[in-house]
Amino acid sequence: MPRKEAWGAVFKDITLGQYFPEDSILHRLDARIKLGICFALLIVIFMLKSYLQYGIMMLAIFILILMSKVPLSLYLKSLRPMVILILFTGIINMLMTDGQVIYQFWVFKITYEGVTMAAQMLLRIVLLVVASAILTYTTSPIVLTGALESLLKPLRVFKFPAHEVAMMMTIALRFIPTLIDEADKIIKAQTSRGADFSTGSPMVRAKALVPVLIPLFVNSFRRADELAVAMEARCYNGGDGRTSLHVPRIIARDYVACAVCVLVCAGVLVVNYY
Amino acid sequence: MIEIKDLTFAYEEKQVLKNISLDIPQGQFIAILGHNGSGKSTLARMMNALLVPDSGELLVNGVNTKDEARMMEIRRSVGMVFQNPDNQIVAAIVEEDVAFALENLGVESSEIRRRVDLALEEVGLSDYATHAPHYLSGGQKQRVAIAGVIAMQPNIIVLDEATAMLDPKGRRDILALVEDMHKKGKTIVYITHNMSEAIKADRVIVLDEGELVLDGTPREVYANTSAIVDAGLELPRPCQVTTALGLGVALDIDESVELINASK
Ligand SMILES: Nc1ncnc2c1ncn2[C@@H]1O[C@H](COP(=O)(O)OP(=O)(O)OP(=O)(O)O)[C@@H](O)[C@H]1O
Ligand SMILES: [Mg+2]
Repeated sequence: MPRKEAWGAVFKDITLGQYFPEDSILHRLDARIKLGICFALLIVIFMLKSYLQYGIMMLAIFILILMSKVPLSLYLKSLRPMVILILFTGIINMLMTDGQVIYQFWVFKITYEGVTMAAQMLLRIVLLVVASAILTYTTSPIVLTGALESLLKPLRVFKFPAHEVAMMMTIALRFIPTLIDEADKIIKAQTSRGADFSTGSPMVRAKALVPVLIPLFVNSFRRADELAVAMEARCYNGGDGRTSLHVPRIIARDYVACAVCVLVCAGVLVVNYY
Repeated sequence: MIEIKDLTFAYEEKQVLKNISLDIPQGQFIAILGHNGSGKSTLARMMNALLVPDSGELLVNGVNTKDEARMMEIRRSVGMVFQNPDNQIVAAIVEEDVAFALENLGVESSEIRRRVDLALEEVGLSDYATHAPHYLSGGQKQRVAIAGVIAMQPNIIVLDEATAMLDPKGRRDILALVEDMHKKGKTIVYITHNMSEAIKADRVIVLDEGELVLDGTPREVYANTSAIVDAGLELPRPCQVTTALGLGVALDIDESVELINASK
Protein backbone atom coordinates (compact mmCIF):
# COMPACT_ATOMS: atom_id res chain seq x y z
CA MET A 1 0.00 0.00 0.00
CA PRO A 2 1.66 3.21 -1.12
CA ARG A 3 -0.01 5.32 1.52
CA LYS A 4 1.33 3.27 4.39
CA GLU A 5 4.80 3.40 2.95
CA ALA A 6 4.44 7.14 2.85
CA TRP A 7 3.72 7.05 6.57
CA GLY A 8 6.79 4.92 7.09
CA ALA A 9 8.83 7.42 5.12
CA VAL A 10 7.58 10.31 7.21
CA PHE A 11 8.57 8.48 10.39
CA LYS A 12 11.90 7.37 8.99
CA ASP A 13 12.88 10.94 8.24
CA ILE A 14 12.35 11.78 11.88
CA THR A 15 14.40 8.83 13.05
CA LEU A 16 17.48 9.24 11.01
CA GLY A 17 17.50 12.97 11.47
CA GLN A 18 20.02 14.62 9.23
CA TYR A 19 23.24 12.86 10.06
CA PHE A 20 25.18 11.66 7.03
CA PRO A 21 27.99 9.36 8.19
CA GLU A 22 31.19 10.06 6.22
CA ASP A 23 34.82 10.37 7.01
CA SER A 24 35.62 14.02 6.40
CA ILE A 25 37.61 16.64 8.27
CA LEU A 26 34.35 18.26 9.31
CA HIS A 27 33.01 14.98 10.66
CA ARG A 28 36.11 14.52 12.77
CA LEU A 29 36.12 18.03 14.21
CA ASP A 30 35.15 18.35 17.88
CA ALA A 31 31.39 18.82 18.09
CA ARG A 32 31.62 21.71 20.55
CA ILE A 33 33.96 23.56 18.21
CA LYS A 34 31.63 22.82 15.30
CA LEU A 35 28.66 24.15 17.27
CA GLY A 36 30.62 27.29 18.15
CA ILE A 37 31.73 27.86 14.56
CA CYS A 38 28.22 27.28 13.26
CA PHE A 39 26.85 29.76 15.77
CA ALA A 40 29.47 32.36 14.79
CA LEU A 41 28.67 31.89 11.11
CA LEU A 42 24.93 32.30 11.74
CA ILE A 43 25.55 35.60 13.54
CA VAL A 44 27.82 36.88 10.81
CA ILE A 45 25.28 35.88 8.17
CA PHE A 46 22.73 38.06 9.94
CA MET A 47 25.15 40.99 9.79
CA LEU A 48 25.92 40.79 6.07
CA LYS A 49 25.16 43.95 4.09
CA SER A 50 27.04 44.26 0.82
CA TYR A 51 27.09 41.87 -2.11
CA LEU A 52 30.84 41.52 -1.62
CA GLN A 53 30.22 40.21 1.88
CA TYR A 54 27.60 37.82 0.62
CA GLY A 55 29.99 36.67 -2.05
CA ILE A 56 32.77 35.88 0.43
CA MET A 57 30.35 34.10 2.74
CA MET A 58 28.90 32.04 -0.08
CA LEU A 59 32.39 31.03 -1.11
CA ALA A 60 33.23 30.05 2.47
CA ILE A 61 30.05 27.99 2.84
CA PHE A 62 30.66 26.37 -0.53
CA ILE A 63 34.15 25.31 0.55
CA LEU A 64 32.66 23.86 3.73
CA ILE A 65 30.13 21.91 1.67
CA LEU A 66 32.96 20.42 -0.39
CA MET A 67 34.94 19.61 2.75
CA SER A 68 31.95 17.84 4.33
CA LYS A 69 31.89 15.19 1.54
CA VAL A 70 28.09 15.24 1.86
CA PRO A 71 26.42 15.20 -1.60
CA LEU A 72 25.25 18.62 -2.79
CA SER A 73 21.81 17.15 -3.51
CA LEU A 74 21.29 16.63 0.23
CA TYR A 75 21.88 20.30 0.89
CA LEU A 76 19.36 21.17 -1.80
CA LYS A 77 16.95 18.80 -0.09
CA SER A 78 17.45 20.59 3.21
CA LEU A 79 16.35 23.79 1.47
CA ARG A 80 13.15 22.32 0.11
CA PRO A 81 10.97 22.97 3.20
CA MET A 82 12.20 26.57 3.05
CA VAL A 83 11.05 27.28 -0.51
CA ILE A 84 7.68 28.68 0.53
CA LEU A 85 9.22 30.83 3.23
CA ILE A 86 11.85 32.13 0.80
CA LEU A 87 9.27 32.94 -1.88
CA PHE A 88 6.91 34.55 0.60
CA THR A 89 9.49 36.80 2.27
CA GLY A 90 11.00 37.56 -1.14
CA ILE A 91 7.70 38.75 -2.61
CA ILE A 92 6.73 40.71 0.49
CA ASN A 93 10.10 42.44 0.54
CA MET A 94 9.96 43.19 -3.15
CA LEU A 95 6.51 44.78 -2.98
CA MET A 96 6.65 46.52 0.36
CA THR A 97 9.92 48.36 0.13
CA ASP A 98 9.71 52.00 -0.91
CA GLY A 99 12.21 53.57 -3.23
CA GLN A 100 13.12 53.99 -6.87
CA VAL A 101 10.34 52.34 -8.91
CA ILE A 102 11.40 50.05 -11.74
CA TYR A 103 8.08 48.49 -12.61
CA GLN A 104 4.52 49.26 -11.65
CA PHE A 105 1.11 47.59 -12.11
CA TRP A 106 -2.19 48.34 -10.40
CA VAL A 107 -1.32 49.17 -6.75
CA PHE A 108 1.92 47.24 -6.77
CA LYS A 109 5.31 48.88 -7.22
CA ILE A 110 8.51 46.99 -7.62
CA THR A 111 11.42 49.12 -6.49
CA TYR A 112 15.14 48.82 -6.93
CA GLU A 113 15.55 48.69 -3.14
CA GLY A 114 12.84 46.06 -2.90
CA VAL A 115 14.63 43.78 -5.35
CA THR A 116 17.89 44.23 -3.45
CA MET A 117 16.15 43.47 -0.16
CA ALA A 118 14.48 40.38 -1.58
CA ALA A 119 17.71 39.06 -3.10
CA GLN A 120 19.60 39.58 0.15
CA MET A 121 16.85 37.98 2.17
CA LEU A 122 16.86 34.97 -0.12
CA LEU A 123 20.63 34.62 0.11
CA ARG A 124 20.51 35.04 3.85
CA ILE A 125 17.94 32.29 4.40
CA VAL A 126 19.79 29.93 2.06
CA LEU A 127 23.07 30.59 3.86
CA LEU A 128 21.50 30.11 7.29
CA VAL A 129 19.87 26.83 6.34
CA VAL A 130 22.94 25.45 4.62
CA ALA A 131 25.27 26.49 7.44
CA SER A 132 23.14 24.66 10.00
CA ALA A 133 22.76 21.69 7.65
CA ILE A 134 26.54 21.37 7.47
CA LEU A 135 26.57 21.00 11.23
CA THR A 136 23.75 18.45 11.41
CA TYR A 137 24.95 16.43 8.40
CA THR A 138 28.43 16.03 9.84
CA THR A 139 27.57 15.46 13.53
CA SER A 140 25.55 12.56 14.88
CA PRO A 141 22.63 13.68 17.06
CA ILE A 142 24.07 11.78 20.01
CA VAL A 143 27.40 13.56 19.81
CA LEU A 144 25.60 16.83 19.27
CA THR A 145 23.59 16.26 22.44
CA GLY A 146 26.79 15.71 24.40
CA ALA A 147 28.32 18.84 22.94
CA LEU A 148 25.23 20.86 23.79
CA GLU A 149 25.37 19.59 27.35
CA SER A 150 28.97 20.60 27.87
CA LEU A 151 28.41 24.01 26.26
CA LEU A 152 25.30 24.64 28.36
CA LYS A 153 26.93 23.49 31.58
CA PRO A 154 28.16 26.95 32.61
CA LEU A 155 24.51 28.08 32.54
CA ARG A 156 23.82 25.85 35.52
CA VAL A 157 24.94 28.80 37.61
CA PHE A 158 21.67 30.41 36.51
CA LYS A 159 19.74 27.21 37.39
CA PHE A 160 19.52 26.17 33.75
CA PRO A 161 18.95 22.36 33.77
CA ALA A 162 21.73 21.53 31.28
CA HIS A 163 22.12 17.90 32.29
CA GLU A 164 18.38 17.28 32.41
CA VAL A 165 17.86 18.75 28.94
CA ALA A 166 20.65 16.59 27.53
CA MET A 167 19.30 13.48 29.28
CA MET A 168 15.87 14.15 27.83
CA MET A 169 17.32 14.47 24.35
CA THR A 170 19.32 11.25 24.79
CA ILE A 171 16.25 9.33 25.91
CA ALA A 172 14.22 10.80 23.07
CA LEU A 173 16.87 9.71 20.56
CA ARG A 174 16.90 6.26 22.11
CA PHE A 175 13.11 5.83 22.11
CA ILE A 176 11.97 7.46 18.87
CA PRO A 177 12.82 4.35 16.79
CA THR A 178 11.20 2.08 19.38
CA LEU A 179 7.98 4.10 19.33
CA ILE A 180 7.97 4.19 15.54
CA ASP A 181 8.25 0.40 15.46
CA GLU A 182 5.42 0.17 17.93
CA ALA A 183 3.23 2.55 15.93
CA ASP A 184 3.93 0.45 12.88
CA LYS A 185 2.91 -2.75 14.69
CA ILE A 186 -0.30 -1.18 15.97
CA ILE A 187 -1.14 0.13 12.50
CA LYS A 188 -0.59 -3.33 11.03
CA ALA A 189 -2.68 -4.96 13.77
CA GLN A 190 -5.53 -2.50 13.26
CA THR A 191 -5.31 -2.83 9.49
CA SER A 192 -5.61 -6.61 9.76
CA ARG A 193 -8.79 -6.06 11.77
CA GLY A 194 -10.18 -3.92 9.00
CA ALA A 195 -9.17 -0.44 10.01
CA ASP A 196 -8.56 1.81 7.04
CA PHE A 197 -5.81 4.38 7.21
CA SER A 198 -5.40 5.03 3.53
CA THR A 199 -8.67 6.34 2.16
CA GLY A 200 -10.96 9.27 2.85
CA SER A 201 -10.38 12.93 3.49
CA PRO A 202 -7.43 14.03 5.61
CA MET A 203 -9.89 14.53 8.46
CA VAL A 204 -11.16 10.96 8.19
CA ARG A 205 -7.64 9.62 8.02
CA ALA A 206 -6.57 11.69 11.01
CA LYS A 207 -9.49 10.25 12.95
CA ALA A 208 -8.47 6.73 11.96
CA LEU A 209 -5.15 7.36 13.67
CA VAL A 210 -6.74 7.97 17.08
CA PRO A 211 -6.94 4.24 17.90
CA VAL A 212 -3.24 4.03 17.02
CA LEU A 213 -2.16 6.97 19.09
CA ILE A 214 -4.03 6.03 22.25
CA PRO A 215 -2.33 2.65 22.84
CA LEU A 216 0.96 4.25 21.82
CA PHE A 217 0.44 6.93 24.42
CA VAL A 218 -0.60 4.56 27.18
CA ASN A 219 2.34 2.28 26.43
CA SER A 220 4.75 5.20 26.53
CA PHE A 221 3.73 5.91 30.09
CA ARG A 222 4.37 2.30 31.05
CA ARG A 223 7.72 2.45 29.30
CA ALA A 224 8.64 5.69 31.01
CA ASP A 225 7.79 4.15 34.35
CA GLU A 226 9.91 1.05 33.76
CA LEU A 227 12.78 3.08 32.37
CA ALA A 228 12.76 5.33 35.42
CA VAL A 229 13.02 2.30 37.70
CA ALA A 230 15.83 0.81 35.59
CA MET A 231 17.72 4.11 35.67
CA GLU A 232 17.38 4.35 39.42
CA ALA A 233 18.52 0.76 39.84
CA ARG A 234 21.62 1.72 37.88
CA CYS A 235 22.52 4.42 40.37
CA TYR A 236 21.15 7.37 38.42
CA ASN A 237 20.92 10.34 40.72
CA GLY A 238 20.81 13.41 38.51
CA GLY A 239 23.72 15.15 36.86
CA ASP A 240 25.88 15.91 39.89
CA GLY A 241 29.16 14.08 40.05
CA ARG A 242 28.56 12.28 36.77
CA THR A 243 31.48 11.39 34.57
CA SER A 244 31.44 10.32 30.95
CA LEU A 245 32.74 7.45 28.86
CA HIS A 246 33.84 9.82 26.16
CA VAL A 247 35.88 12.82 27.09
CA PRO A 248 36.21 14.68 23.83
CA ARG A 249 39.61 16.33 23.60
CA ILE A 250 40.25 19.49 21.68
CA ILE A 251 43.30 18.95 19.50
CA ALA A 252 45.39 20.96 17.03
CA ARG A 253 42.96 20.72 14.13
CA ASP A 254 40.17 22.10 16.31
CA TYR A 255 42.29 25.15 17.16
CA VAL A 256 43.13 25.62 13.48
CA ALA A 257 39.44 25.42 12.58
CA CYS A 258 38.67 28.05 15.20
CA ALA A 259 41.39 30.34 13.95
CA VAL A 260 40.24 30.03 10.32
CA CYS A 261 36.67 30.74 11.39
CA VAL A 262 37.69 33.85 13.32
CA LEU A 263 39.76 35.09 10.35
CA VAL A 264 36.96 34.52 7.84
CA CYS A 265 34.32 36.14 10.05
CA ALA A 266 36.51 39.13 10.83
CA GLY A 267 37.44 39.44 7.16
CA VAL A 268 33.82 39.39 6.06
CA LEU A 269 32.87 42.04 8.62
CA VAL A 270 35.71 44.49 7.89
CA VAL A 271 35.72 44.16 4.13
CA ASN A 272 33.00 46.85 3.94
CA TYR A 273 35.31 49.49 5.29
CA TYR A 274 37.74 49.27 2.36
CA MET B 1 24.96 -11.69 50.92
CA ILE B 2 21.34 -10.78 51.51
CA GLU B 3 19.57 -11.18 54.85
CA ILE B 4 15.81 -10.77 55.02
CA LYS B 5 14.15 -10.73 58.42
CA ASP B 6 10.39 -10.90 58.79
CA LEU B 7 9.78 -8.60 55.86
CA THR B 8 6.27 -7.36 55.04
CA PHE B 9 5.17 -4.93 52.40
CA ALA B 10 1.88 -3.55 51.09
CA TYR B 11 1.02 -1.34 48.12
CA GLU B 12 -1.59 0.95 49.63
CA GLU B 13 -4.08 -1.60 51.03
CA LYS B 14 -2.88 -4.69 49.26
CA GLN B 15 -0.55 -6.91 51.29
CA VAL B 16 2.04 -8.13 48.76
CA LEU B 17 4.79 -9.67 50.90
CA LYS B 18 4.04 -11.39 54.20
CA ASN B 19 6.62 -12.22 56.88
CA ILE B 20 9.39 -13.24 54.54
CA SER B 21 12.61 -14.42 56.19
CA LEU B 22 15.43 -15.54 53.97
CA ASP B 23 19.22 -15.60 54.02
CA ILE B 24 21.08 -15.69 50.75
CA PRO B 25 24.79 -16.39 51.31
CA GLN B 26 27.42 -14.88 49.02
CA GLY B 27 27.93 -16.94 45.86
CA GLN B 28 24.60 -18.74 45.95
CA PHE B 29 22.51 -19.16 42.80
CA ILE B 30 18.94 -18.87 44.03
CA ALA B 31 15.82 -19.04 41.87
CA ILE B 32 12.63 -17.34 43.02
CA LEU B 33 9.51 -18.95 41.56
CA GLY B 34 5.93 -17.80 41.77
CA HIS B 35 2.88 -17.18 39.60
CA ASN B 36 1.93 -13.74 38.24
CA GLY B 37 1.31 -11.30 41.05
CA SER B 38 2.85 -13.47 43.75
CA GLY B 39 5.23 -10.66 44.73
CA LYS B 40 8.48 -11.67 43.01
CA SER B 41 9.21 -8.30 41.42
CA THR B 42 8.32 -6.54 44.62
CA LEU B 43 10.83 -8.66 46.52
CA ALA B 44 13.45 -8.03 43.83
CA ARG B 45 12.98 -4.27 44.12
CA MET B 46 13.50 -4.54 47.86
CA MET B 47 16.95 -5.99 47.24
CA ASN B 48 17.99 -2.84 45.39
CA ALA B 49 16.45 -0.34 47.81
CA LEU B 50 13.98 0.66 45.09
CA LEU B 51 11.40 -0.22 47.72
CA VAL B 52 11.89 -0.54 51.46
CA PRO B 53 10.02 -2.92 53.80
CA ASP B 54 7.00 -1.65 55.74
CA SER B 55 8.20 -3.76 58.63
CA GLY B 56 11.10 -6.12 59.03
CA GLU B 57 14.54 -5.69 57.60
CA LEU B 58 16.48 -6.34 54.42
CA LEU B 59 20.28 -6.21 54.65
CA VAL B 60 22.58 -6.24 51.64
CA ASN B 61 26.15 -7.15 52.59
CA GLY B 62 25.23 -6.07 56.08
CA VAL B 63 23.80 -2.69 55.04
CA ASN B 64 20.16 -2.02 55.85
CA THR B 65 18.18 -0.81 52.81
CA LYS B 66 16.44 1.68 55.07
CA ASP B 67 19.75 3.52 55.49
CA GLU B 68 19.27 6.20 52.81
CA ALA B 69 22.78 7.53 53.17
CA ARG B 70 24.14 4.21 51.94
CA MET B 71 21.62 3.64 49.15
CA MET B 72 24.17 4.06 46.35
CA GLU B 73 26.46 1.57 48.03
CA ILE B 74 23.63 -0.96 47.95
CA ARG B 75 22.69 -0.22 44.36
CA ARG B 76 26.24 -0.58 43.12
CA SER B 77 26.59 -3.97 44.78
CA VAL B 78 23.24 -5.29 43.48
CA GLY B 79 22.91 -5.26 39.70
CA MET B 80 19.37 -5.56 38.30
CA VAL B 81 18.20 -6.89 34.96
CA PHE B 82 14.53 -6.39 34.14
CA GLN B 83 12.07 -8.16 31.90
CA ASN B 84 11.54 -5.80 28.99
CA PRO B 85 14.76 -5.31 27.01
CA ASP B 86 13.40 -2.15 25.39
CA ASN B 87 12.59 -0.35 28.59
CA GLN B 88 15.89 -0.64 30.42
CA ILE B 89 18.36 0.61 27.84
CA VAL B 90 18.88 4.31 28.34
CA ALA B 91 21.47 5.42 25.82
CA ALA B 92 21.22 5.42 22.05
CA ILE B 93 24.59 3.67 21.63
CA VAL B 94 25.42 0.25 23.08
CA GLU B 95 28.70 1.14 24.77
CA GLU B 96 27.24 4.28 26.27
CA ASP B 97 24.44 2.29 27.79
CA VAL B 98 26.90 -0.17 29.29
CA ALA B 99 28.74 2.83 30.73
CA PHE B 100 25.59 4.38 32.22
CA ALA B 101 25.91 3.11 35.79
CA LEU B 102 29.64 3.85 35.89
CA GLU B 103 29.02 7.40 34.67
CA ASN B 104 26.43 7.84 37.40
CA LEU B 105 28.91 6.60 39.98
CA GLY B 106 31.51 9.09 38.84
CA VAL B 107 34.08 6.52 37.74
CA GLU B 108 37.01 7.99 35.83
CA SER B 109 36.74 7.84 31.99
CA SER B 110 39.72 5.60 31.32
CA GLU B 111 38.45 3.13 33.90
CA ILE B 112 34.94 3.28 32.38
CA ARG B 113 36.44 2.53 28.97
CA ARG B 114 38.33 -0.48 30.34
CA ARG B 115 35.37 -1.95 32.20
CA VAL B 116 32.92 -1.35 29.34
CA ASP B 117 35.19 -3.14 26.87
CA LEU B 118 35.65 -6.07 29.26
CA ALA B 119 31.92 -6.32 29.96
CA LEU B 120 31.02 -6.25 26.27
CA GLU B 121 33.58 -8.96 25.61
CA GLU B 122 32.14 -11.06 28.39
CA VAL B 123 28.64 -10.97 26.89
CA GLY B 124 30.02 -11.42 23.37
CA LEU B 125 28.92 -8.08 21.97
CA SER B 126 32.26 -6.36 21.39
CA ASP B 127 31.46 -6.02 17.70
CA TYR B 128 28.31 -4.09 18.51
CA ALA B 129 29.87 -1.52 20.82
CA THR B 130 29.02 1.47 18.64
CA HIS B 131 25.71 0.18 17.28
CA ALA B 132 22.28 1.55 18.12
CA PRO B 133 20.52 -0.84 20.56
CA HIS B 134 17.42 -0.46 18.42
CA TYR B 135 18.86 -2.76 15.75
CA LEU B 136 19.76 -5.58 18.13
CA SER B 137 17.61 -8.67 18.79
CA GLY B 138 15.80 -9.05 22.11
CA GLY B 139 18.42 -11.47 23.38
CA GLN B 140 21.25 -9.15 22.39
CA LYS B 141 19.51 -6.24 24.12
CA GLN B 142 19.28 -8.27 27.32
CA ARG B 143 22.97 -9.03 26.99
CA VAL B 144 23.62 -5.30 26.73
CA ALA B 145 21.67 -4.85 29.95
CA ILE B 146 23.72 -7.62 31.59
CA ALA B 147 26.95 -6.02 30.34
CA GLY B 148 25.83 -2.79 32.02
CA VAL B 149 25.46 -4.74 35.26
CA ILE B 150 28.77 -6.60 34.87
CA ALA B 151 30.61 -3.31 34.27
CA MET B 152 29.36 -2.07 37.62
CA GLN B 153 31.10 -5.08 39.27
CA PRO B 154 28.35 -5.86 41.77
CA ASN B 155 28.63 -8.99 43.88
CA ILE B 156 24.91 -9.72 43.60
CA ILE B 157 22.94 -9.88 40.35
CA VAL B 158 19.14 -9.94 40.34
CA LEU B 159 17.39 -10.96 37.12
CA ASP B 160 13.64 -10.30 37.18
CA GLU B 161 12.16 -12.53 34.45
CA ALA B 162 15.00 -11.43 32.21
CA THR B 163 14.24 -14.18 29.69
CA ALA B 164 10.45 -13.91 29.64
CA MET B 165 10.32 -12.00 26.35
CA LEU B 166 13.03 -13.96 24.54
CA ASP B 167 13.00 -16.84 22.07
CA PRO B 168 14.58 -20.18 23.09
CA LYS B 169 18.00 -19.25 21.74
CA GLY B 170 18.03 -15.89 23.47
CA ARG B 171 16.92 -17.64 26.63
CA ARG B 172 19.72 -20.21 26.46
CA ASP B 173 22.30 -17.46 25.86
CA ILE B 174 21.17 -15.56 28.92
CA LEU B 175 21.08 -18.68 31.09
CA ALA B 176 24.61 -19.58 29.98
CA LEU B 177 25.76 -16.08 30.90
CA VAL B 178 24.08 -16.35 34.28
CA GLU B 179 25.84 -19.64 35.02
CA ASP B 180 29.08 -18.07 33.91
CA MET B 181 28.66 -15.16 36.31
CA HIS B 182 27.75 -17.58 39.08
CA LYS B 183 31.00 -19.48 38.46
CA LYS B 184 32.86 -16.20 38.83
CA GLY B 185 31.54 -15.96 42.37
CA LYS B 186 28.53 -13.67 41.97
CA THR B 187 25.39 -14.21 44.00
CA ILE B 188 22.58 -14.78 41.50
CA VAL B 189 18.91 -14.12 42.26
CA TYR B 190 17.03 -15.52 39.29
CA ILE B 191 13.33 -14.73 39.16
CA THR B 192 11.08 -16.70 36.85
CA HIS B 193 7.80 -18.55 36.70
CA ASN B 194 9.27 -21.14 34.39
CA MET B 195 10.35 -24.06 36.56
CA SER B 196 12.59 -25.64 33.97
CA GLU B 197 14.81 -22.53 34.02
CA ALA B 198 15.43 -22.99 37.72
CA ILE B 199 16.97 -26.49 37.60
CA LYS B 200 20.51 -25.09 37.42
CA ALA B 201 20.06 -23.13 40.64
CA ASP B 202 21.63 -24.15 43.96
CA ARG B 203 18.41 -23.34 45.69
CA VAL B 204 14.81 -22.65 44.77
CA ILE B 205 12.20 -20.78 46.76
CA VAL B 206 8.53 -20.53 45.86
CA LEU B 207 6.36 -17.50 46.61
CA ASP B 208 2.60 -17.76 46.73
CA GLU B 209 0.45 -14.70 47.44
CA GLY B 210 3.40 -13.03 49.12
CA GLU B 211 4.29 -15.95 51.33
CA LEU B 212 7.39 -18.07 51.14
CA VAL B 213 5.93 -21.56 50.79
CA LEU B 214 8.82 -23.77 49.64
CA ASP B 215 12.58 -23.56 50.08
CA GLY B 216 15.25 -26.10 49.14
CA THR B 217 17.33 -27.51 46.32
CA PRO B 218 15.46 -27.89 43.02
CA ARG B 219 15.24 -31.63 43.66
CA GLU B 220 13.71 -31.14 47.10
CA VAL B 221 11.28 -28.45 46.02
CA TYR B 222 10.12 -30.19 42.85
CA ALA B 223 9.18 -33.25 44.88
CA ASN B 224 6.30 -31.29 46.50
CA THR B 225 4.00 -31.83 43.57
CA SER B 226 0.77 -30.72 45.19
CA ALA B 227 2.26 -27.64 46.88
CA ILE B 228 3.64 -26.58 43.51
CA VAL B 229 0.28 -26.92 41.83
CA ASP B 230 -1.29 -24.99 44.72
CA ALA B 231 1.24 -22.21 44.20
CA GLY B 232 0.04 -21.89 40.61
CA LEU B 233 3.15 -23.31 39.01
CA GLU B 234 3.81 -26.12 36.59
CA LEU B 235 6.60 -28.70 36.95
CA PRO B 236 8.90 -29.18 33.97
CA ARG B 237 7.54 -31.81 31.56
CA PRO B 238 10.13 -34.54 32.30
CA CYS B 239 9.47 -34.10 36.00
CA GLN B 240 5.70 -34.26 35.47
CA VAL B 241 6.11 -37.57 33.68
CA THR B 242 8.39 -39.18 36.26
CA THR B 243 6.40 -38.00 39.26
CA ALA B 244 3.16 -39.19 37.63
CA LEU B 245 4.82 -42.59 37.19
CA GLY B 246 5.83 -42.50 40.84
CA LEU B 247 9.53 -42.53 39.95
CA GLY B 248 10.52 -39.33 41.77
CA VAL B 249 11.99 -36.09 40.45
CA ALA B 250 13.78 -35.86 37.11
CA LEU B 251 15.23 -32.43 36.44
CA ASP B 252 15.75 -32.87 32.71
CA ILE B 253 14.92 -35.20 29.84
CA ASP B 254 18.05 -37.35 30.22
CA GLU B 255 17.36 -37.96 33.85
CA SER B 256 13.73 -38.89 33.17
CA VAL B 257 14.84 -41.38 30.52
CA GLU B 258 17.28 -42.93 32.98
CA LEU B 259 14.63 -43.18 35.70
CA ILE B 260 12.11 -44.72 33.33
CA ASN B 261 14.63 -47.23 31.94
CA ALA B 262 15.78 -48.16 35.43
CA SER B 263 12.20 -48.86 36.51
CA LYS B 264 11.54 -51.35 33.72
N1 LIG C 1 3.05 -0.07 41.84
C1 LIG C 1 2.07 -0.88 42.33
N2 LIG C 1 1.00 -0.36 42.93
C2 LIG C 1 0.03 -1.16 43.43
N3 LIG C 1 0.03 -2.50 43.32
C3 LIG C 1 1.07 -3.08 42.71
C4 LIG C 1 2.15 -2.31 42.18
N4 LIG C 1 3.04 -3.15 41.65
C5 LIG C 1 2.56 -4.39 41.83
N5 LIG C 1 1.39 -4.35 42.48
C6 LIG C 1 0.60 -5.53 42.87
O1 LIG C 1 1.36 -6.29 43.75
C7 LIG C 1 1.21 -7.66 43.50
C8 LIG C 1 2.57 -8.30 43.32
O2 LIG C 1 3.19 -7.75 42.18
P1 LIG C 1 4.59 -8.21 41.65
O3 LIG C 1 4.89 -7.36 40.47
O4 LIG C 1 5.57 -8.21 42.75
O5 LIG C 1 4.30 -9.69 41.19
P2 LIG C 1 5.19 -10.67 40.32
O6 LIG C 1 5.29 -11.93 41.10
O7 LIG C 1 6.44 -10.00 39.91
O8 LIG C 1 4.27 -10.94 39.07
P3 LIG C 1 4.66 -11.14 37.54
O9 LIG C 1 4.99 -12.58 37.37
O10 LIG C 1 3.41 -10.75 36.83
O11 LIG C 1 5.82 -10.23 37.23
C9 LIG C 1 0.33 -7.78 42.28
O12 LIG C 1 -0.95 -8.15 42.70
C10 LIG C 1 0.29 -6.41 41.69
O13 LIG C 1 -0.96 -6.13 41.17
MG1 LIG D 1 7.31 -9.40 38.05
